[in-house]
Amino acid sequence: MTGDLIPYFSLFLILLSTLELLVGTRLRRMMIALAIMYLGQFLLLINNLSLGLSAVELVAGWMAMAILLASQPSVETHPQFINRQGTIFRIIAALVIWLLVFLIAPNVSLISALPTQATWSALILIGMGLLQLGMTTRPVKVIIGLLTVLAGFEIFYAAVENSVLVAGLLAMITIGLAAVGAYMITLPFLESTE
Amino acid sequence: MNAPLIWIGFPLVVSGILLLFRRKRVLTVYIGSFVCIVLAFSAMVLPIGEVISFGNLTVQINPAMTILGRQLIIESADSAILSLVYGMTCFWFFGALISRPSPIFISAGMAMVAFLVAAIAVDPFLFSALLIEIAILISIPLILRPGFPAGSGSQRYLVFLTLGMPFILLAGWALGGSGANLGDPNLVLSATFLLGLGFAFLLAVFPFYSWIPLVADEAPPYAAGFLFSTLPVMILIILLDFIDGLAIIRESNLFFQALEFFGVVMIFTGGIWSAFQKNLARLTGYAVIMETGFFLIAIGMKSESSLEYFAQSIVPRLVAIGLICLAITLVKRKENSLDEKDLQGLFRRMPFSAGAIITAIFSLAGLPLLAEFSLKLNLLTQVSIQSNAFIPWIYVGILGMFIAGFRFLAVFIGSPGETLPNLEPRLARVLLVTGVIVLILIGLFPSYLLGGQLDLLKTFPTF
Repeated sequence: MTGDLIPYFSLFLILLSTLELLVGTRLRRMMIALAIMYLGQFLLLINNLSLGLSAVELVAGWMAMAILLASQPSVETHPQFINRQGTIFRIIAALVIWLLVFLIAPNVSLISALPTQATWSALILIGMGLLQLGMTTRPVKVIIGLLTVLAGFEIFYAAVENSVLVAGLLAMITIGLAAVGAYMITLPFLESTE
Repeated sequence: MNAPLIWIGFPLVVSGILLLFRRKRVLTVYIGSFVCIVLAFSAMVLPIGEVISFGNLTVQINPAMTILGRQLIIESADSAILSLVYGMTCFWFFGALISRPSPIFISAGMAMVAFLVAAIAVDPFLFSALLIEIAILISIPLILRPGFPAGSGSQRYLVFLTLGMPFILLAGWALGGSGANLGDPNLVLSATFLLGLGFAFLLAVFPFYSWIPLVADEAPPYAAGFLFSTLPVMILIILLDFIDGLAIIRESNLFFQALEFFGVVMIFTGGIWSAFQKNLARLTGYAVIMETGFFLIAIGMKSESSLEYFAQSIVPRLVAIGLICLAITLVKRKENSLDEKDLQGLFRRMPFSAGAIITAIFSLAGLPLLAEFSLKLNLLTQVSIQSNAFIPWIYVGILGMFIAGFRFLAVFIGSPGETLPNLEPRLARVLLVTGVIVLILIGLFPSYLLGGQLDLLKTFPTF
């Protein structure tokens, strides 16, 4: 694959994975989507960060995914169902976000000093993450929404700041968010301390 | 030896050790309180950056520590902040003897405070947003109750405060750009807006404060109180640090006007909701919103006397919130409810708790002779001198809190029916009475008891 195509490939991965994260209800598929999303982010980060630091972000993302997956109860007590209308509504909302992103990306690209293709990916991550946050009250979905927003922000921020400390702290926050999510998910099954 | 190792590294190590002993609650409370009081006291007496001689032995506490190319710097000017922060933490930890919050309260609380101190110390200070976020993540288990699903309050708390971090980091980047090009008003405006929005999320400024009453209702009251009293104060100190270090923000009238405006909105809306609130825990949440509003007005006015309000009101606010949270923890444990309808005649069943709650509410509202009266009077006088536009709105907000206080007073002195008295534990009675006496004493001798807090302002010399 030539270097010029990589941003488009990562954009494709991000579009696909964030859509699955938004409309999906099966946890395993959502976690695979999360892993793919972090792969897409990694392909964009290596343009601005060193390979080592980009790999740190990728591994942190995959670790977050693994933590969330491991925390799920073996039998889901309250499975979430989204009816067909709900799915259609979410897809339409995602399409609106994509449209909005493609409209504003050139202007944002001028300010952020990121190539337009990378700006598309970053804004789509942020937009889809915010959409996710606005549409759910399930802890796992909330955490996935926050992770998505942060993944988009990391692409922006890597273009302006490539310090080891920031990369390390952002990786720590990614894993920390997943750990908090895992705690929230397992909370009803824990023994009450009161 | 260096200062960040003492006031950041050491508490983090202790918090890790205490996590291992979390089942031994009393032991962790004593160790946690002792460590915090030692850290607070050492901040007052240890000269940072100077050579200390013990006979032939000389020690120098270096103010800086380098981590991955960035520095944590704690200078002697930060001593007042350190002693305040660790003193506050000790206050909350000691109360845990009675309130019995989550087993990890002490260890998580100490780690959270250590990261917040790191957020104040980090250089460049715009990275503090990352450390605040880590502190927030650590605080989440404090407000969750094992055995119950995570409520919408804790989720909103996590979402809103996490969303604040990117804005502050982006503001740092924009300010870096405008530092090279001070003449670009658009970039300065963007940076100011980003920074303001970031802090609005972190400080739960209107309209991002909806999580406060929800968390107050869902979380264990004492843990929620710890969060409500520690987090806003620390973030405001970080905000003052930002303002002190950034000339662009310091000279931006728009930023300060926005702070003042949103402060007034928070007092007004918080007061209105308080007046109609029938749940004691949620009422505490609205009181916290109003207090943050007063802080924002004090910073927004940008005068010496208004900043004195900020510095001096931290302790009365801490005592009032601590008192109310300790009391409602006891009430919730005995009565299983904090709704107005279930608290009829509380004065006859739990007189110390009921008295402490009423005193704390009235102190926060600014009743004469209680702790916050003289401070609020001074601040409101300053506001009225500057402009009369805000005063009616502030008074309506305060009136709302008074209405809530008098309504709960009427409920508490109402007929108890045939319920038996629920006596509070002896230590709880001692702490509650001490708290009430402190609030009255501060109200009677504010300058004498709160004068020392003005040292806090030395940390922000150019503000």
